[in-house]
Amino acid sequence: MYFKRHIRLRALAPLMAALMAFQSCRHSTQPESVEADNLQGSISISGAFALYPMAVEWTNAFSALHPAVRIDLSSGGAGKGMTDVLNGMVDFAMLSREPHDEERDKGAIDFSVAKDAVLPVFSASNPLYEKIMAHGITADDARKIWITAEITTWGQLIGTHDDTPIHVYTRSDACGAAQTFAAWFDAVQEDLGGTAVYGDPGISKAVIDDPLGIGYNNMAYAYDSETLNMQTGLEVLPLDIDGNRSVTDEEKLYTTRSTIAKAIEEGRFPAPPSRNLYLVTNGVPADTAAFEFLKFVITDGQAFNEPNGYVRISNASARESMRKLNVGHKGRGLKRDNTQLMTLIAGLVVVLLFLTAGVQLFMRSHIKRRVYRQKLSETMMVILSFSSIAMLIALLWGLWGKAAPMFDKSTLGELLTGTEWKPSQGLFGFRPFIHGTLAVTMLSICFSLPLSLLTAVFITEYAPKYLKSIVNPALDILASLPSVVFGVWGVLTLIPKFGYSLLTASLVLGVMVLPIMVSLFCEIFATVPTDMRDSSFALGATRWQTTRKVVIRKSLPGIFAAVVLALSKCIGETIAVMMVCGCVPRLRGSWLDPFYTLPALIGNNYGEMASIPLYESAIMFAALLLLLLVLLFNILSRVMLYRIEKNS
Amino acid sequence: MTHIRIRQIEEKVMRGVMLVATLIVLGAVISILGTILIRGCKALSWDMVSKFPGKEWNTAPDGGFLNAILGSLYVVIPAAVIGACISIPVVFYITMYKRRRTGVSYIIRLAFDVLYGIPPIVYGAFAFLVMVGVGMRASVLGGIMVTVLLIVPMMIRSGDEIAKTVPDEMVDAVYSLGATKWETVWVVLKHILPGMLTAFLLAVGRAIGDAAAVMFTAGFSDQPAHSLSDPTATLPLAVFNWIIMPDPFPGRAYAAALVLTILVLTLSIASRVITRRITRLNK
Repeated sequence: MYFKRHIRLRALAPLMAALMAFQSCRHSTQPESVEADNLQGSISISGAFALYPMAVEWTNAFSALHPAVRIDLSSGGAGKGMTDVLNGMVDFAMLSREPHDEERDKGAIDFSVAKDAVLPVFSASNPLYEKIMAHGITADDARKIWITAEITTWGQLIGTHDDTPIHVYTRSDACGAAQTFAAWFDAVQEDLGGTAVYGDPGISKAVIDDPLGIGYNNMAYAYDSETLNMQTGLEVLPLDIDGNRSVTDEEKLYTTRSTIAKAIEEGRFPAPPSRNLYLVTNGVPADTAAFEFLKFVITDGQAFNEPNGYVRISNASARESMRKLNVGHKGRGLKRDNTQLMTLIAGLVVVLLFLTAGVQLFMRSHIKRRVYRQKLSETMMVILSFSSIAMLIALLWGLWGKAAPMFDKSTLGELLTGTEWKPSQGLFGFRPFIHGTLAVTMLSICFSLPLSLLTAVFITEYAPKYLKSIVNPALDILASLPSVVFGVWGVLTLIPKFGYSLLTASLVLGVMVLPIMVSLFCEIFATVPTDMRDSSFALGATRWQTTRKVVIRKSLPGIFAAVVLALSKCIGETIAVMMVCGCVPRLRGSWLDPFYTLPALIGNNYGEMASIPLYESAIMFAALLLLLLVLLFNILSRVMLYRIEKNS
Repeated sequence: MTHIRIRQIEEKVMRGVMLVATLIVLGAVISILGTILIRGCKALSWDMVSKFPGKEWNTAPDGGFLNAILGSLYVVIPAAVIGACISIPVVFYITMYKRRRTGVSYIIRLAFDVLYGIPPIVYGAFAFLVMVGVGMRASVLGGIMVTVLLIVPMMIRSGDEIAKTVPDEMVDAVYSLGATKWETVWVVLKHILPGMLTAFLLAVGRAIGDAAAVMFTAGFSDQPAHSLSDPTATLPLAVFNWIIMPDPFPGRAYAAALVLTILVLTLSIASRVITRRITRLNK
């Protein structure tokens, strides 16, 4: 009896303590008074990379004025912010493109807060540096590079016969920079070709590292944020604004971030690629802290724009924003943050459990108490156990429910075999993604299967003890490493050799599944009876013959099951693949071409869900597809393993 | 004669090939650990693991990523505790209450096996749907929810293996003394608790390194989390975000990767030490 209570209390004590600590902290950040000098509350902002450095300045200045306000700032592409704000998950979205009409219809109000530009960039170590700088680039050139691929060498760009190839980079995540840049030559983001890299900094890094690279960057990332000079190794490709095939003195605007900022302010730089940057809210903020913050950014905060290399908004648009702030429809505030309610519900469940367990205290008869406890515990266990099945059904049902609108417009066959991925035109072809997923899976198994089979045989049949004591811990280490570490390894050691490519991703995945396969194979080989090996030896077979004809043949079903398990692990891997795949949906490509997989699609794009109709359904359909693929593989391997278990 | 000759050569060649294969595997391990160690040690400093991001965080070395380290712990530790509270009873149910081979425990085991195989990103997307549905923001609580989903199948899988070592005779002996099944649980629990601890540590190690699931649900923030409803940075996501950002961020990514690796390896070694001690005791 004592033992029981003791254990139960011990298990719950840290949990309760943690909950209580969290709750008490929470109360201290609740808005209690709203005096201007003692403003409290919390503000959350997410969205575009382009506005992020500026937002950091504003939030720092604002929290110096109002130290009690907590500000959460995260950047993750324009789409993410829009989704969050429309879903009522954050107060402000940082937006670096013009808002869509659908978004305004859903209640989004945009406040122009700064201006900047998206600039084409190339590497300062380009062999043709001087000539490129003198020639510049027109919108038509850019179109031929990113869209039609008519220009594939630097010679074609500057009008010589030099055939150094151009390595084209573009953004993998849905973002304002790509849309603004594409708008410069009347295109949209999904038309842009080239190796896709995640995030603004990703492109500048890729272009700096690749002397033949060309990309495009937000002003804030093309220039160093400390010195306002160009980032070391990066050079802005001057825009040939008048189209005379050479860069005149009036077109040399790019020395520092301040000079280009001045040019934009004075209208000497075309728009696009210069653009407005917005803070978007879901209705005028009802929360005082958020309201004050927005007012601050539009008025006093503008003083921070120029020192940081951004362009101030004009007085007219400041007035317009203030007008919106005063007359715009009031937002309902954030969707009531139900996180606390959820915590409360969880707490209630625990209390209820204790109450039902406490009922026994009122029972006189010892036997009755024991029976009650037995029945209660059994009920709990049944509920928990069957929740697994409920969970599976909920997963399938939930994803299916969200994915179903896809089938209004196209059939299942069209979705699976369609090759065009152009969400803004309503074209959702999943074939390139399925193709990419399966290709990388197969290739990585091709790498790791022979390696792991040989290693496993070596460990179980041949290796001396000291070697085993090296290999086994090494495999254990490999098995416990998180996938993001494999990703870092791929970025640092494989990408410089093979680029963002199928080969890199397959190698990373191959190494990742090695320890799983080796340890499974070793287990399986160990189940082959020693007598069988001995009788094979007795017949004069060599060790290799015994291995090949007895051990491996006997464990064939087990090997099959292990491979299927590794396959399903590869199919679902997200982070490591996202870091090295290049994110280009394509059907035909060599080992060294970038590609795209289903998990990477979900990881990159869940942010854009709100802005394009059906996008959310498409992403959820991808998740459903992935789930079904993995289910199929898993059940296959399970059935195999259970059959083996039954036989042995 | 020649036939035997060929067999001997074949034997030697295969031996060589296997040795090479093993060396390649070892080489891969050394390459990964070496890369992380070298790059990480260069970038790591005491400030990085002991301070929150400062005001100049985005442009200069100012402060550290303690918020991400704490964020990972805030998400994973409660999730692991809740996960243990859910999975231990399930293990008992499918091994003791319904004896191992009944249809019910077969179906439940299959369901958990299938859940185990589902990629974290699918859990992430699903949890994101649910969170939007009930009006939750990206927060520590969201991260905990999705991590529980990840951990429970893992712990049940290993718990199931451990429960196999409980001798049926022992359970029968307890029953024969007139104990109810519930009372038997406490006897068996003593037997499997050390094993479950190992499983617990391994699951924590897996969960702490997973970025795909918390990407949608825990959010990202440069501020330390003060309550369950604040978004928080987590270590793996920090590595993922920072590695592609301009200086000084990649250095931080390498340092964070090193910290994450050390954390995970410590957990894995601890679990192995426990396992070894148990097997020695049981002998």
